[in-house]
Amino acid sequence: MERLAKIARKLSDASIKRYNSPYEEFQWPENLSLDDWHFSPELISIYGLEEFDALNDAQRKKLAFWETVNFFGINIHGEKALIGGLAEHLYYMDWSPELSEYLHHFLDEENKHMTVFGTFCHRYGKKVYADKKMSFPRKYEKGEADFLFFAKVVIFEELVDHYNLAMGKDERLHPLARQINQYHHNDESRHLAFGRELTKKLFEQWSPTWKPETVAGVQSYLANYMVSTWREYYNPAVYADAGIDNGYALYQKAWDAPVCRAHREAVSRSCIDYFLENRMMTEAPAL
Amino acid sequence: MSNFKTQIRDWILAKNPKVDGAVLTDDAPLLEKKILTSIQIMDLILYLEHLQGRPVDIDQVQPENFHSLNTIHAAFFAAAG
Ligand SMILES: [Fe+2]
Ligand SMILES: [Fe+2]
Repeated sequence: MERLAKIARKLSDASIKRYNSPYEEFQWPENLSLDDWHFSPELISIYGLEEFDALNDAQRKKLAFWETVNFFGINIHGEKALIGGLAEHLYYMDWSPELSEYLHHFLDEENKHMTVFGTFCHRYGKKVYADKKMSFPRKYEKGEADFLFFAKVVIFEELVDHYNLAMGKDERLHPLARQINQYHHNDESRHLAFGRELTKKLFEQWSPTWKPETVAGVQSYLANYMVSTWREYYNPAVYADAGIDNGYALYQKAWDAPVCRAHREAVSRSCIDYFLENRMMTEAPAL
Repeated sequence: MSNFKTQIRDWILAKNPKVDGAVLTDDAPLLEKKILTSIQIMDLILYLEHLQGRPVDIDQVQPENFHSLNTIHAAFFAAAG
């Protein structure tokens, strides 16, 4: 764990330097105006479809607002699971003290992110869209559950970060939405550096001890997990809240549309390459 | 046979064209028999919401609810018949 311990130490130092309170960082206006953009139009889930083209500017901005509530909700649900798993890995087995030190920061930062996303959703959307991810309990080989947990974190955070990075720089966005995306990206870049390193290390350490079926199982599981993660970006309830008729049909259409699939593939490319290069996937998932 | 059960059955067969319809009885274990994959559950939940006309609260749902067509029907449509 030497290389990893060194990285963890560096990241802890960076986290301490950047230590902040979201209660001081953010000013929350009483109301948000739907005359502003809160989500980049090109990142809206139905962008590129004729249904999107048919919307006028006000309708697009309204849809963008609900896409923001959905995106922040995806973060909330993902981070909730993340915090639970991070806590389990504090002072874990023979892992070096540097890892626990960094996991304290990781966990602290995720908790802060959740308060920011939660405040936005509750204050302006008056709700958090429900989580739709179910997990089915099963037995694991040694090291398998640890590996899968951190690999899933990488997938979840890679996709989110693509959106954060783009929207943190998008001058069209209302300053609050831009600031939240920027704030999140600043911490995520460290989480991803750590997550990529640890995930790879766990796979190298444990996969040689697994049965071939187990290795094949985790490879296909991760591909499936990426598909499920993407599903959450298409939410019929968002379309309904934006005043679009038959949100369910639109959800199905968007998921199957080549233009949307191309978007998912482009956003996921570097993440998929990472998994392929390290043999944690054998083929790119059918997104 | 209930209308909802037929609709869910049709949905599963449409999503999994390789599955032989004769295998998909009301009691058939969906995940065990690979009639349905766990990755499809999220998509199925959205379809159930669509049929029900209201959101599904995932915190109230158990994995066992997705054992078979019968258990899905009992969990989500018991009151509807
Ligand atoms: Fe986060
Ligand atoms: Fe993170």
